[in-house]
Amino acid sequence: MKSMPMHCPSCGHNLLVKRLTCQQCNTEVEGLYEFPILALLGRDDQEFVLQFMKASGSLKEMSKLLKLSYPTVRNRLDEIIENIKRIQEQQEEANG
Amino acid sequence: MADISSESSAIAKRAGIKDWLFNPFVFVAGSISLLLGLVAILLAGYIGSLSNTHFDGVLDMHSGAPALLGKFLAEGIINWLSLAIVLYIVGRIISKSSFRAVDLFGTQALARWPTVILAVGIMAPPCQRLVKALMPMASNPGASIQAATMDIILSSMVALVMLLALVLMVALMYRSFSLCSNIKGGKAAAAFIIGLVIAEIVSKIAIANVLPAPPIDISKPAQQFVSQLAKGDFSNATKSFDATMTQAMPADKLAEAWKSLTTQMGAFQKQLGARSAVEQGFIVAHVKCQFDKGAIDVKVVFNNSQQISGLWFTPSQ
Repeated sequence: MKSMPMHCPSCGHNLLVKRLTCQQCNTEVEGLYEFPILALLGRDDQEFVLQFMKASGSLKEMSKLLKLSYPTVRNRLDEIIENIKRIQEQQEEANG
Repeated sequence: MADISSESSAIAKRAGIKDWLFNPFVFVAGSISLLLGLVAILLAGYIGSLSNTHFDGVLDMHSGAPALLGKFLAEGIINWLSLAIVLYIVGRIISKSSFRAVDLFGTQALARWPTVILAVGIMAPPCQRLVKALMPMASNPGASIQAATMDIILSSMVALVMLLALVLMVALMYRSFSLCSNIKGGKAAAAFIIGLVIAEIVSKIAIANVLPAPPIDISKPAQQFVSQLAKGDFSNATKSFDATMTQAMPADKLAEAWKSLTTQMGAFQKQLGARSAVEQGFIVAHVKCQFDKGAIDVKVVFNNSQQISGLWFTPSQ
């Protein structure tokens, strides 16, 4: 499946979902829906978060899985937290 | 979706010597780095003791003054702790991220591994000859230096390698601080430089106060050794010899030497006193002994581990 575009190719702002379709009965729903914050993260960030959840939120376990040092993994998590905060701020600004 | 663990494992596997050399803390930190770092610090201290080379400050290295092995080892530990403690405090004040002390202390210890290169470098024969040639300058700045040109050239080449090792050590110290405290850019560089300057001062003060410089009093072990000779306990006397002396003068040869002395000077009567000093880079004790026919100085030379590495019988002065 193709990866979903999250940002406007023209101006770079976050895109909204306008139409949703049921694959079973073809019912279509139209409106303006925001993506969940996690979906707005970059692909690498999403993969890290997914793996972090699978590792029961243990940075030590993540460190072993990734064969990277604990501070390297923790800094990566800090980076993702900063990205989430930035997205939240952008959403709040967009919603007025 | 690609599995991140397999993806990053691939990155870890791709990591070459360059990554491990210049950026090892991406892969190793915490207790493992602490253990490896402490081994490196103690090893550098031990190798340094073989050529009387002191790491007497976070970034300092001086050759010449003899001392006991413990001092060489303790200097490395003090240097590491001085910088690690200062950077930990600086990091706690500046960093927005919470970080583990074991990561900073461990990676700071491992960052000191290039001191092993420095300690080995100074042991190179041309460097040793040059150090000996320069030693008179320490007591008399106006003294003339007699060093071979080739020694100066070779020593300069070794010095260049040692300089690169020093630069690598400082770079690793900085990377350790930046990574563990998650501080980047100019802020990290400024905080590190300030921390390094403070730690340098702290380490110099700590080494001067906690580990006072010689005089090293080795009169007692020297007197004990002479007592063993006087009692004819040569097998126990040779237990305090270093490897070279043990090979050169086993118990029977020592007994022979003592017998030859007493034949010449008469029977041993008593010890008249002892003094110790640092002579030409060696720790030496003179034990004055009274024999039937006169007085003799037993000159006992010790290495940094307080083992006897030389023995002479000289007319008393």
